[in-house]
Amino acid sequence: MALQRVNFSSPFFLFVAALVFFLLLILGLQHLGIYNPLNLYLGEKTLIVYRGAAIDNNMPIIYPTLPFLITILCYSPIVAQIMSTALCISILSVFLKRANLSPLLFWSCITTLFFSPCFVFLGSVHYCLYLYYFLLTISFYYISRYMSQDDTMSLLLCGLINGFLVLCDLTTLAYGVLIIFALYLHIKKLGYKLFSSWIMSLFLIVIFFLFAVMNCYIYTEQISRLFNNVYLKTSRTLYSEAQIFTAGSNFWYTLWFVIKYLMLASPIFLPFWIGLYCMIRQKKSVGQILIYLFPILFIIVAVSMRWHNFTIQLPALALLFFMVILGNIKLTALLQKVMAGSLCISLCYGFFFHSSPGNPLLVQLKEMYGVLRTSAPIDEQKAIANYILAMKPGRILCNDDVNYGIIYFTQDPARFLLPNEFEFPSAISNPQLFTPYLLWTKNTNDDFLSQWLQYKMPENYKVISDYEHYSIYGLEDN
Amino acid sequence: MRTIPLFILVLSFWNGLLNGYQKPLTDTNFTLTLADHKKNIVFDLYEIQGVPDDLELTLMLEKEANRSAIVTVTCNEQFLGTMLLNSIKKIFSIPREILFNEGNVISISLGATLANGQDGLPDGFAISFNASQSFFTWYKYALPLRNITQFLMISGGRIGLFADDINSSFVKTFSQLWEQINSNAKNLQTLPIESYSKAIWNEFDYIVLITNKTQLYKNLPINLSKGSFKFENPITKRILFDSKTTSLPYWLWQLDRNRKKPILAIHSSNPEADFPVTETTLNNLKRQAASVAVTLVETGTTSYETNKQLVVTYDDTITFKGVWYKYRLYFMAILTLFFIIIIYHIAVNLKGAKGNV
Repeated sequence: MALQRVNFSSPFFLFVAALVFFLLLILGLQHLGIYNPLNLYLGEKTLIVYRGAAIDNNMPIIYPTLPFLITILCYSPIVAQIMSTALCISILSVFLKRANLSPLLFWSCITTLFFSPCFVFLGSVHYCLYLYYFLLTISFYYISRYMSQDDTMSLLLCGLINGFLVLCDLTTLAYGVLIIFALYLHIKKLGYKLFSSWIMSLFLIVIFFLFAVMNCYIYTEQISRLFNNVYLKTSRTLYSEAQIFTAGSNFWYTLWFVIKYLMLASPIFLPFWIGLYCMIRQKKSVGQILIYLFPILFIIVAVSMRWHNFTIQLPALALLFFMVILGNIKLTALLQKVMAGSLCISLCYGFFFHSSPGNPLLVQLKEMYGVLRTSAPIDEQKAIANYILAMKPGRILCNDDVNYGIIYFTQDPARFLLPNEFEFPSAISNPQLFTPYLLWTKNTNDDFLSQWLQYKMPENYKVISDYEHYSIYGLEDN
Repeated sequence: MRTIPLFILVLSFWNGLLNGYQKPLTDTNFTLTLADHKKNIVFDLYEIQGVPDDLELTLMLEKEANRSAIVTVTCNEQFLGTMLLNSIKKIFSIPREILFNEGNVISISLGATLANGQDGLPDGFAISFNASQSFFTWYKYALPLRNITQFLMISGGRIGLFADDINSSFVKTFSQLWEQINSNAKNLQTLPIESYSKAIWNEFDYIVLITNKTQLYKNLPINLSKGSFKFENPITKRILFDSKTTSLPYWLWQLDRNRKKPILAIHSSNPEADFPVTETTLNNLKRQAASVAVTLVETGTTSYETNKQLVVTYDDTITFKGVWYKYRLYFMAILTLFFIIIIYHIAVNLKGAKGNV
């Protein structure tokens, strides 16, 4: 009976299970023609690192840096995606195990992590955001732990993780103030006993950011690459078709929108509210309760700043906070049953009922996949990649800000002359000296190369292959 | 603390104190109706005579319409904003990143708000815009310019051309070519190089130097007083251009990167040689993407991005940039090690550390 020997709740087993689950999910989606543009983008950059023509020293600065470094280690973007997701789940299971939960509550948490639509969305599409939420939760866990146990090692870890968060998402900088405020409340109570260590932890947060950004600046002298990035553009504009938010810049209107959202989606947030009730009941400090309320503040700020145009991922942060906070509160048997029940309600509500303004989570998930299917002409890009592989040898002038999919499908980045090469400005000023072929995007708004060439197409080139969205030009001699 | 409101007050009026520029949007009033609901207005940057740093578009109605109709404004298909027609005036700001050198399209289109629906507007509904009160405004120009093409295409106003020999064939060819690219270049003022100095900057908006006097090149990307030069790609070690091995005549174009005055300096290796004048040359000049370019008779003009990317090396001289490109990996490794040591030091010396994370 080999099955009896397997410990199903061990982190390793959960890691393997998550690997298999998300691999099958992603392969199924790709079979339906749903490709994640962020995966294609990071995969293309990884290909350039391994097999590019002129290996650019600036490559590690591609943003988001942390997911990109994972992709470099794993070589394939899909492997990187499932690895990071599975790692998040198995580390979370370690946190859950430490809290001495009953099997019922433990498994309902794990089920939520696997099957809740918001986590499915994050794991299968937006794994950068998953990593971000995970690190965010862990860092807040360590602050909370520092407050309850005066363990300054936790403070140090919090500072380090905050430094890594900046490499995941620049929005981290917006709420660093909250951490400082909560710590201030706590330290005021302690009477400045630990003032020096507090300063040190802040110093770490700042130094990590400075180190990351200054490193970019010194090493590459191209800071614009960090801030003018496909990832940031994609995460803002890609899903605008599935737009749900209509909140404006008015703060009170935003607040009213968030309150309405929280009320309509309250069954999904039910475990979170029960956790809050327990914290107040057990008389935790004000700073700790403030930290636990962080997801609500995050939702308000995210809505008013329009960080994302969609709501599907928002419950995930609150649920992660709930799961991690379980270790900090005393749990009776009844409470555990209530929490397990609330998690089940949250899961079911996400699947079947109208939760947020507009649609249930499952419908939103389908909508997101629909957007991914229609956003890029994947079939055409594959056809062009095959055509390029069958062409005569010669380099192709191309802008990979928009055409990264084509380069990924050819698996041969050395064929292309790309903007990261130092000869690119020379090549677009006098193409025939550098490349016999041009890849031209017909939607000139996205592609600055096409904007550059559209009125001044070099005379010696003619169309050799024409598609709906792209065309390939070649020198007349060839 | 009391000075802060005063400071904000002064800041908010500062733009008003500066002298602004204005350009009318159209010559005559125009009307949008339900049948003809879209108006496209095309403008080039040479009409503005530079790249405006803070371009704003003011739209003014003849009279307000008491309807829930809405006007959407885009520039180069980028959304600028909407205007409800119960207010008579609205100002849109246009970011300079979305402006092209030529062929910018402002598109104004009429629609209805969702609450009312398209059917809510009556058939004869029309709104007209007041041409005399609808205009572009801007306060200052963005400098330095991005590339040579931008200089050639947008320059206007008072243009001064300083040359070693005013009557040389290259000066004539160049001014003819420039006129074909940019019609503002017709009224340029040609002066001998002896009259050029920094004091004369205020008298001109754009300055062109056609000279072989090497002392004028001291603050430019390529300092000709250091002798012959070459462009090298530091990653592939490929030499893209070497002035020493080039026997044919070449023309070197450079854009001064100072933030006060746009200056284009042209040096020719052989002042008597004829500059190639064909349609290809003209198109080539419209395509220069960097601030340094070299024209050869056979292959045409090619840009070289020396600002941050390519390395310029002179005759037997050691430059800081060259050394930096050679040893920067070791430098960064040492810096990283240094930071790791600091962080380790802090971690070890934190008091009250308990371990067991």
